[in-house]
Amino acid sequence: MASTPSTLTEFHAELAIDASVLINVLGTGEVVAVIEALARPLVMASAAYREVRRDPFTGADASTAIDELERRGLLLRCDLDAEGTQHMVSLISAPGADALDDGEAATIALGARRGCCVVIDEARGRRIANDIPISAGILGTIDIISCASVRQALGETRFRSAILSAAKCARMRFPTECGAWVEELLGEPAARELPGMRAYYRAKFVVGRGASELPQSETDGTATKSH
Amino acid sequence: MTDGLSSIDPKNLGERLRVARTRADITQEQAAQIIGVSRPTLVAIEKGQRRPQPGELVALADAYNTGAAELLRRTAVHVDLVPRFRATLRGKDGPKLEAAVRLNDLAAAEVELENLVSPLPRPPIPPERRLVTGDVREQAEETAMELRMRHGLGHAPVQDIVSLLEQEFGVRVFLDKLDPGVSGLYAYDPEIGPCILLNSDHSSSRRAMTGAHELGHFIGTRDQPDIVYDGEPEDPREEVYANAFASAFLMPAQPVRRMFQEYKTVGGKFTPRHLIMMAHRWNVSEEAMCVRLEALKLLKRGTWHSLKDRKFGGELVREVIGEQKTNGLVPPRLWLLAAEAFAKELLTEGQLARLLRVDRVRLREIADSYGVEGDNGLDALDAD
Repeated sequence: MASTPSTLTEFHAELAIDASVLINVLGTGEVVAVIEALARPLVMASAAYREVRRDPFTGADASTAIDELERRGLLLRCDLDAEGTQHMVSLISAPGADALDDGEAATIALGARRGCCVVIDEARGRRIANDIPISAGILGTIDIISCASVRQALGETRFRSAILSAAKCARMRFPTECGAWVEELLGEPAARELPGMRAYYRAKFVVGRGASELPQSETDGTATKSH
Repeated sequence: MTDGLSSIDPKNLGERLRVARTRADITQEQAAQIIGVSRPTLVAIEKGQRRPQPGELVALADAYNTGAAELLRRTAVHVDLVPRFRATLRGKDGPKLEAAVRLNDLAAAEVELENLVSPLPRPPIPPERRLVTGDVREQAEETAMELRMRHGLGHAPVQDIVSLLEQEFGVRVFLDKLDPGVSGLYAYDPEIGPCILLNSDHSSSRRAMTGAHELGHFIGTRDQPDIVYDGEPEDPREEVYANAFASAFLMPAQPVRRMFQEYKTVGGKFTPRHLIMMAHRWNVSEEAMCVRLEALKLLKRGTWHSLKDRKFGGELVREVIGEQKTNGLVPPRLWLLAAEAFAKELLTEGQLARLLRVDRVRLREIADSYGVEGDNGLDALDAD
């Protein structure tokens, strides 16, 4: 089996996914196959759900695709209870650099409330979730779409196409540390064309100019993956 | 765990709730029902005398079609342009109200992003020249020419109305898809200055005309908001003034007369081809140019109608000036600020998407278009 940057394990038994993550997964054009291959419950806070407005793969209203996921039992939409809502509001109303939007805050509050893994790409969200802490772990989109079971379920051609599609249709950002894997998977010419790989190539360019170490990701995915 | 609400000034929060409710056109009675409290309790919340519970706040945000973050974000700027428009609108003015709300949102977003990223220098705004009794068309001619001279435009055509409005007149200009009937709108707020929203689906010549029309309102009737909507009568004096101002500003009488005479002298007569060339030269539509020539008494009244009846247009225009490229939109300042805020992680993706009222993928497109460069080493071109 080829290498994978995914750190998804059996420990992550239930996943609370953020809007940005679902948008990226929808962008693969293989949303059903990807979530089925994960073989674990996915939950989403209502506030995050409302932020997924357009299916980046089809261009259509996202509610059709999400309704289908719910109908198949692949995604469960959850309303926060009073305590969860209080937590969400506290995350939203934090001072400037710590404040989150409704969906991001609701995702973290949901993960904390249900004791499940939070899947979020937003750097600030990951840092805040890490500080809470979320004991069941914090992952990002890359952990989901690049995991071995997804690759196996799709087969090599569809898998490559799904990653490329997420990058193009959803403009998914790849964490800098995963750049080499993406480059190897898609080939350098294709990878260089992707806006979501700019951080990686920018870092490479800086290294090429003599910087002593690879700078941290500018977009997402650099927070500690806690278990 | 604290809910964070205790650290927020209740008066400020109450005011934000009031503004959001008014914008959503929901009564205090209805809002009170939504969260299961009495109307006096809701009034107390809006006055800052009672803090809302977290659940109440989220429910009200939902009902007002906004997010709790919009109400609680400490950097949020609350602009209240909508009621000024609402006062002038009647029952079936949905598209106009929608456009007014959009202008309000974009103005608030730009001010907040400026506060976060860096305040951009703005030129001093020109003084108001209120309408006086007498012929408003004459006043419009005079003021437009005076303004042109004061801002160094002389007799030259206006190439880019958006940049001109922003850089010379200190106007916040936005471009967005609006109902096809809405060409643009204008409002002035003493705190944030003049704001104009133009329909991005319209041609550049039409946008120029709308922009100049709204500039006329800014100069002549500053405090009155305005919406340019298809097929509305030109009745009120203010509208006659704004239309005349737009024509005079974009097609100043003296050089237009001179050009007309030149074409006429060279060709022996003024033809539809000359009209097309003149319109192209002044970046206005053939209709606008024809109507201007009629107003200057260079062409007979009714010439435009007669030309239209004779199927003037498309093919002849292409023959004279070739296939016109659609004029790419000038990247609005707002997108540059948003891309910068995104790159510097001053706001999260969710916060920015909500602020700009765009979906996440569109936000990523904006960030990719106007944000950080990749590995090409073209990051900064330092000035001396």
